[in-house]
Amino acid sequence: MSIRRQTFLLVAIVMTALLTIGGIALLFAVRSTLTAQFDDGLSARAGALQSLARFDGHAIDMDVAGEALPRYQPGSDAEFFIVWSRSPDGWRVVERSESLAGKNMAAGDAGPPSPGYRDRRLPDGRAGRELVIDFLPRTDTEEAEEMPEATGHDRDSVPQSRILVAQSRAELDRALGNITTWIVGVGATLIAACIVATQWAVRRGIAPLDQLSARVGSIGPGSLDQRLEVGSLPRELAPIAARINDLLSRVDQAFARERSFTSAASHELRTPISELRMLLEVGLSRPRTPEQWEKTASDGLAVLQRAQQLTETLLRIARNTPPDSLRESADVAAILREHAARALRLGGHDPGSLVIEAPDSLVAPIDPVVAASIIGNLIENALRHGDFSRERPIRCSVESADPGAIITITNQVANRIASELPDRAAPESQARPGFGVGLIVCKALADSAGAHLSHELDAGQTLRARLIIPLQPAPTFQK
Amino acid sequence: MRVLIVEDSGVLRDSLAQGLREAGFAVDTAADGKRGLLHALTTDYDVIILDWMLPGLDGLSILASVRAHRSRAAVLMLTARDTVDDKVQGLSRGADDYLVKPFSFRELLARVQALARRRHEAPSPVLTVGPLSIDSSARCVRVGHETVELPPREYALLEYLARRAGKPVSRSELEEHIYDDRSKVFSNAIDSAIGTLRARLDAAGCPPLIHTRRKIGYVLQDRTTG
Repeated sequence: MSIRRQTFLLVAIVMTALLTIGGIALLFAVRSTLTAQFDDGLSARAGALQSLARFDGHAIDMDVAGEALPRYQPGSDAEFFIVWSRSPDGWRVVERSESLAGKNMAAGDAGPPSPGYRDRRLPDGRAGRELVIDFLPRTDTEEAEEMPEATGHDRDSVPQSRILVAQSRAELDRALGNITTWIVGVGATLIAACIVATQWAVRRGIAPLDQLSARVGSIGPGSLDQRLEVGSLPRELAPIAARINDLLSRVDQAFARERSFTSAASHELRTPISELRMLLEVGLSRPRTPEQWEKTASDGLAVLQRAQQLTETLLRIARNTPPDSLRESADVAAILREHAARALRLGGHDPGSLVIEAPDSLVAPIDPVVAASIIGNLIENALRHGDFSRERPIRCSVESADPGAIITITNQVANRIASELPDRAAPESQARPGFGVGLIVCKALADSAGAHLSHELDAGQTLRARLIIPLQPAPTFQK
Repeated sequence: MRVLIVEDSGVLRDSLAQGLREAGFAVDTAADGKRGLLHALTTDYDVIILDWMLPGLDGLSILASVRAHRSRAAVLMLTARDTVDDKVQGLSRGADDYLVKPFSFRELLARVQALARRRHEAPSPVLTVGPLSIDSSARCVRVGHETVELPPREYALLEYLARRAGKPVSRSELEEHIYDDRSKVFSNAIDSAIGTLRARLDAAGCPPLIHTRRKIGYVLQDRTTG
């Protein structure tokens, strides 16, 4: 489920619940208020009737002329009252409204109901509400207020009386119904409005996230150079976008390195494949003598051995197996001399065209095979692509310095070769393949052995390749 | 047809040279750019097979120099660089064809033959002079319906004369295109080879087609049709 939907559902449910609870609370409050007002009316009526009751020393008398109390006359909207008086024999009806038509409002012979407000069914069948209160009838206004002892019966002798007043609650119920309808209607409208507003607000609030998601989703392997616009994003999303941009940069660089490495490796393998293919195709093109086949096989084996060495070098890089370099050490000065002499001999070059400046021995902590592979390829590249002579020799040096052993090979290169080298200002850019095992492969090999290989090309077309082997290598593999 | 191979891989260079020689080409080789350029500028090659990345001087520089000297040699770039940009760069600098390593020798041979035909402005691989027909792609010579077996050198001689049919070709030009630097060419080598070739064609029933131009050389021409 989407964040937008989750947020929308959550907010909508909470808003609906709050509005519903608020509506119900409002309804109860209104109902309580209206009922209290209704009960106040009943109480006033009871008080009025109570004031009409007088005790004359023998009996309770109520002056309730029918025309004086029209609301208690029989009719469709009649109200009711009944007054009881307690006697030693129990409760006895003293007075009742004409609307009762002689009926009793007590439940059977149980006597009058207990004091209090309650809903009840009226004698004419309507829903009503009653108030029952106890009271002591007045004896005489003046005597009761000024000289109660003179009458010969004090307040204690006045019989306890109970009055019940009841009236239809049709108006109350109608008012409550109307208010309930209003509250429900307004509440439903508010809930609907809240849902719409919530949806709009959530969509608007999550829009930057949606846009960010769409931009991220549109970035694929072919468009890793795209970056997310951080400035226009909300404060909460900006750090995420910045991190994604960083990640994209790293992935892009990793892809570029991978492509570069693969391209260099593929290029380097093409030459031995071409050589083998030519050997076999030309050999098979016509009948050969055993001696010719023997030479073909010998040449093919030599090609295979070189291809195997190259493959092992590439595998070493791919598997990142530098631990040997931690355990082993190599005399890089001897390796340099050995490879320089062999390359000069095999290429038929003038020995004076390569100058070596190195101590008799310099041992560095590096795998001898890796060191030989890198140094050999650097020398081979210098001889293959360099513009050198006895007057302008290739210079190879080995020295021990603070960072460790430094092997430097300096030579002039032709203009066109120089243009094929990686950009000096962008050391991570892709080197064009074709330089022995390839600069990229050599660099990866050096990295895998905890060393560092760099190159510089100055304005005078002097190429300086430098291999630094730290005294305590910390292998960090970067293809 | 004379071909120059400029390639720094010894195995590849020797294999190519062997295959092309066996196919009837005169082949010279160079292992680095400077020697390759020296060969290209001093000999009239029909086809130059040129590696891109070379010691000393790269293939594009050699190509530029060859074109600057108005050489008519067809140039086939041979390289492991396979991107479109690389191919466009090579062809736009004056290469006539481009072949990416690794490649099939048969394909290379077909391309070299096509370049040689184009160099002599002969679009069809079959050259016909009178009753003589030469299929340069199959390296097959026929007189009428009869096939004539010729050693590589004599075949190369006949094919070169056929490509220049009707035009006199000097002995030195024939020497330059038929023999490579490895061959030991005696002063009468061309005359001797022409004599042998005439005898083989005559034995196959072919009327005399190779005529001698005094103090000039030879011309292959069917004079019976006027």
